[in-house]
Amino acid sequence: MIRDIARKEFICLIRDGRFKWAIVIMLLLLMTSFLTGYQRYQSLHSIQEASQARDNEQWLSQDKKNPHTAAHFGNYAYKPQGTLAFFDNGIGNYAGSVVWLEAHKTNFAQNRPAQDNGAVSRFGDLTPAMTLQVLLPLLIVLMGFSAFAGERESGTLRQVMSLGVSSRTLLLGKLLGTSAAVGLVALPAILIGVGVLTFGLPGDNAQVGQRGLLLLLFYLLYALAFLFLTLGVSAVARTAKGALIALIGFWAMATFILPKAAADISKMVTPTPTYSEFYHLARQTSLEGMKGAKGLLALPQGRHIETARRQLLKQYKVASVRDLPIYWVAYSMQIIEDRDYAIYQKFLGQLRETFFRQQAVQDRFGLLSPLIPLRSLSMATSGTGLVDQERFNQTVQDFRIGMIRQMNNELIENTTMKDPLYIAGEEVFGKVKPYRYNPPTLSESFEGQRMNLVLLAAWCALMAAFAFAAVRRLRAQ
Amino acid sequence: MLKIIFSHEVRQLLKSPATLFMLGLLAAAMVFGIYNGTRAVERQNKSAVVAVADEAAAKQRVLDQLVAYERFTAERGIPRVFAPVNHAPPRPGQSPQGTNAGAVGGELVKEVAILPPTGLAAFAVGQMDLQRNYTLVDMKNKFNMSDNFEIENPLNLMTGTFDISFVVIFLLPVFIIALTYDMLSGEKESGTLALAMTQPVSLRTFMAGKLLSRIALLMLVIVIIGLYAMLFSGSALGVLDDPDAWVRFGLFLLATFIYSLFWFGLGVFVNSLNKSSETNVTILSGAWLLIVVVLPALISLTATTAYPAPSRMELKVAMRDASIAAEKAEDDTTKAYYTDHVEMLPEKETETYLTVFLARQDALEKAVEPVFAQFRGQLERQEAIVGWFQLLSPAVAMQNALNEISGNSTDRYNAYMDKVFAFQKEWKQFFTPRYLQREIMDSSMYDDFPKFEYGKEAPYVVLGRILLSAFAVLLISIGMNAYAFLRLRRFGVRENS
Repeated sequence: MIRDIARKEFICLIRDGRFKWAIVIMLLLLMTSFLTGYQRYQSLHSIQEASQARDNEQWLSQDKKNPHTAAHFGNYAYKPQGTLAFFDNGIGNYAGSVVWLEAHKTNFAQNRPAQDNGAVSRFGDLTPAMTLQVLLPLLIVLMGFSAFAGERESGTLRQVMSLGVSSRTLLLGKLLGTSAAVGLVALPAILIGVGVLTFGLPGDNAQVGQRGLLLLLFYLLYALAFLFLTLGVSAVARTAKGALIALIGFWAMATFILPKAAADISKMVTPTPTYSEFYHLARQTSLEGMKGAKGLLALPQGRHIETARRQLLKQYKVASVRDLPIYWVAYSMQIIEDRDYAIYQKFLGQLRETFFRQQAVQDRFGLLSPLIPLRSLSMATSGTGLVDQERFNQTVQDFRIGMIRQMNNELIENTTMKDPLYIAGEEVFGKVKPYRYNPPTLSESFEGQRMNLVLLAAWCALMAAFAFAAVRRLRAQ
Repeated sequence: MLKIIFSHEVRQLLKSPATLFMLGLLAAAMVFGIYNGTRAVERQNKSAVVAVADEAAAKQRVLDQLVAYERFTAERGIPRVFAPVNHAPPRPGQSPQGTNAGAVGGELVKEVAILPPTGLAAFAVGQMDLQRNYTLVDMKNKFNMSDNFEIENPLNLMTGTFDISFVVIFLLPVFIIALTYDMLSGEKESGTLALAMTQPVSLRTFMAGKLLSRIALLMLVIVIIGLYAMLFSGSALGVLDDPDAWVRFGLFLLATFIYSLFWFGLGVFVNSLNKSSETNVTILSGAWLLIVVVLPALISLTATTAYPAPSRMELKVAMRDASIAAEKAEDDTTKAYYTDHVEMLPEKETETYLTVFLARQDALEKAVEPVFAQFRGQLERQEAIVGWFQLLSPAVAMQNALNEISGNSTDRYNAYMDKVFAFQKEWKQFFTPRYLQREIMDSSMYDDFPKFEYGKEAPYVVLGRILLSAFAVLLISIGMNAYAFLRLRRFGVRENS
């Protein structure tokens, strides 16, 4: 019986002119989004690879010079994309992917495509993820809204019910039929995705199979939640028109209005500091000392250096820095570097915390919209979310302090105040190993995603419960 | 007759809880939107204020040292001397850096060149959340100034701001669809259309009355809440007495009206197809998705594929190549020192330090200029493509118009950056000759430093930028309405098409 109902539903949908159009358009969009996602990934990947390789080369081939001047020249560190960025670009357009690592200065990751692509890019990208997150639910709504309400209006529901079909059977039949029609669109997408992954994209492929399967599961849960909701509303609504209006209203609310409102509310709850405020505070702290810190960090910069100087003189039992066997100037510069590293770690850490707190506030709106948990999970799985960005931001700063320490130590150990001249070449610069980004493992990616997992599963389960309850109380008229 | 239908419709709409709910939702969304937009402008202003204060303090420190030195020399009757570049604080009686124009204009004092927000900035945040509205100008190469990064959570940037522009571009069409999708089909389905047609009224007059009543109601809400938004953001940002702000507000209302007209026309057109209400909703929501979501994404894609901008990464690689080439041309002996730390240079080297430094900055700028020009050129070509393709999607045209009207558009920002680059020349012209002639600066000169004045863009400049899109949308809207009304002549009141 379930099969008969499913077949009827499927055939009715396929034959309806409206849906033919919807399916064709949706298919075209999915294809386009996959192709462009693939193309974007490829071109960005090759630019990144080439730039990083060239930068490593430039670092080594820079003219012979004082190592500290080399640290001023510095390195650029690039963030490679994960393979699944072709599917879900996440915050890719809005997060910096390259950082200049130089002496004395802590810089932010820059090169955000959205800044250079003009305002039209703010409408959002046509990625496969966006197509499935936003367009697929609308397709489901359009295909399913009349499943019960339409039959009730045309009087066929009474006939079907008079046959003694159980409500469960009826729902499952409709569910299968509608899913089959939606699957006509989704299946090619899945095949393309799997194809691209199997035949390979350059780049990091760690755990990409598991990640792909997880994506499939998440999007399936999401689609099912919308499917159950649509059928449930169709069963409850008095007219097909009413069902459609209510469902489209929910769709617009869940996919467009709530995510935006959530972002603005999260900014109200935890405001983001501005560029000038951030640096003002960090520079001030560097000069005047960190309040509440232990040891030398709490002292003003001058006194910090003075204390270190006295300790050093005592250690080497000499009266003046001119008599030290090491190079005091480079030593004192390294003190400031280490001090600033600790200070910036604190402020960058606070900023990171702000970002994650904002994300947590937004995730809470997942109670009202299934898109929000799905979006977070999809980005986390694809390696294009905040976790990945912040991992990059953190590891490049660790790399930076290592590079600068290496260069300053060259000077500290090899020169003195009396004989400070020193020229280093490739053999010294080569001691700094090129930066490499290690993407998080699967379990690291899912740290902090527990609530989203629960929410997405809950949406699906609750909508299923709603649909069964609605069908159980189904009225023929 | 039109009047009767109009007032009847208005009364009916106002009695429907669904309509009232929608209008209330629209009003609430606009209020929320203006609140968010105002916060964004306030944040931007705050950022600039901190930068201005920081730079003013830096200038004051230099000036204080200079004044102390002037007093010191005057009291003793000794001549003042030129200070070579030195990063260590001056000893008492030693000439401070403030006497050296190169040190002052090159690294110690910076002009904060501000792009002031317009009186309507809170209405459309545009690219404001990505870029700072101020630039720190000194004598270093200009590419360092072109990347005006502002800190924001990339997650928030991705989602965008819930501002008035979002409400108008995304939500207003949804409300219009909800108001129009069953204008005729609903009457027909409930059987009242045939009844109404027994009256001495043509279908087109009937439709006109329905349409006008809806337009009037919606515009009434937009004007009232828009006025509230203007007063709210205007008083928070202190721009209510600025006539330019009110001109822009007028343009905002006009643009919104034209955009609404398009969606109303689409509603009439879909009704003229004589299909069921459900089909109408399906078509209209599909059209909404196409115009507001899919087409803009495709247009953006076309622009970036046709004219891919050389990525900033390539710009950076080119800059480093140029810098390597420049230093290869320099004297080997200076490289053994810290070229970036003059306090460690032997006395005779500091005389030339700044000259070498400035020469390197110049060489760098010349080498990177072509890459930078190509970079900006491609971006301009992208904008041009978007300019033409916006005729396909009124939503893109509307976004362009609202960003221009609110002053947060790419055009205005680029025009501002050009002014900043020009100002930097002025800045260099003030300090470089004085440095090269080793002129001893005194404290009275400090008020004469070049000051950046953005000036205001005349309203016709703004109008010029949006004229094409506004006109195109207006034509499409009028055409859509006219065609739909023509179709109504063949509308079957009883049978379905």
